[in-house]
Amino acid sequence: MWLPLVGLLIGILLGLLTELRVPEEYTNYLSIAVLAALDTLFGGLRAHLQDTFEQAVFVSGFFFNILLAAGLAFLGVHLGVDLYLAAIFAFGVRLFNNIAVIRRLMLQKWMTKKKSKENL
Amino acid sequence: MITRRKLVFTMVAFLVGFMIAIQFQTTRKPAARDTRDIWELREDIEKEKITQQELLYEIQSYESLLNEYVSKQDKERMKTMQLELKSLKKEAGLTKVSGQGIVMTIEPLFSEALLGEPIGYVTDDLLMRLLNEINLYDAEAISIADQRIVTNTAVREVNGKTYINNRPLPPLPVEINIISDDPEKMHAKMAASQAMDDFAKENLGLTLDPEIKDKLTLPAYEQHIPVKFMKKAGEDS
Repeated sequence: MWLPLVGLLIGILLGLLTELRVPEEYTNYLSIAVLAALDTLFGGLRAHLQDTFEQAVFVSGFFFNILLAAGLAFLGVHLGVDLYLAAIFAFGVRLFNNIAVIRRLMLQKWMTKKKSKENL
Repeated sequence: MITRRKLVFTMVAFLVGFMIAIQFQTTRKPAARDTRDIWELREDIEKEKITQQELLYEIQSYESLLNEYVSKQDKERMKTMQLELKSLKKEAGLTKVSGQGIVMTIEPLFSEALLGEPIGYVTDDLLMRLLNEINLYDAEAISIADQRIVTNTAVREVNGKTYINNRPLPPLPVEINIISDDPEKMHAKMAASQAMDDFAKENLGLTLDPEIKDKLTLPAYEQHIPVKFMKKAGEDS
């Protein structure tokens, strides 16, 4: 459980230390990519808790979602329609859903643990 | 299998963290840095000091004026006020003014017969540019074709004619009178001015009278200056 967290921290640290910057025009794409990545991450966590995790789906979903979101934003810029809003909306809703499910699962686990302790 | 799953999670989490960090760094605006070196700072201080001094002078003059209002008798008070009014009117350009200055003339550069095409007129842009330049060299008072230029003088183009103070510009040649505290300097600056070239591009010649006039008289601004934002002060203020 703690290994992914360490990974996240190392990623953030490394990102801050490298002082890498994306050109101003591409921040939109990056923000959407971050959202997509977060969505995939939480989706994976949920699948893991529900025991439906599949590695190939997870990894492919991670990259595919990022590319799709950035591509949608790109298309939106060229069509003059704010298509990235669609991506933000979809990922936002899914993020909330996933987190809600994760919360419920965690709560359930905790409750059963507590109950089993009481029974002992 | 579990460890491998963890590894994948870790990798993805790492990538997410990296992306978040980059995004954070990109959106965080770099703090505006003061890049002035010591000489620029000194210059800036010098400038501010001069401004301060000017403001102090102004305060002093107003205070002395106020003192005069307060200390003198009614009759004298009236006199002081009238004097002040006069000086304000002079500053606003509502009075005739005379002094040392220079004269410039706008005339056609080449005649119509020579060019075979009509001579251009003095455009408002051209005049504005010239006025800005003259004002830049600290002119005291300016008049173009006997129209006094004051702060809210309008130089406009209407239907192919240039209007100053809502009066059309007379046919060429047009005379520009400039009064200045330092006419020699003004003369030198105008002699080296870019304005002549700008006028020449429109087939107009801007000539500078070679001698400095000892006594130029400029007419007063004839129209009413609308006062938009000033109000009469109350009794107690």
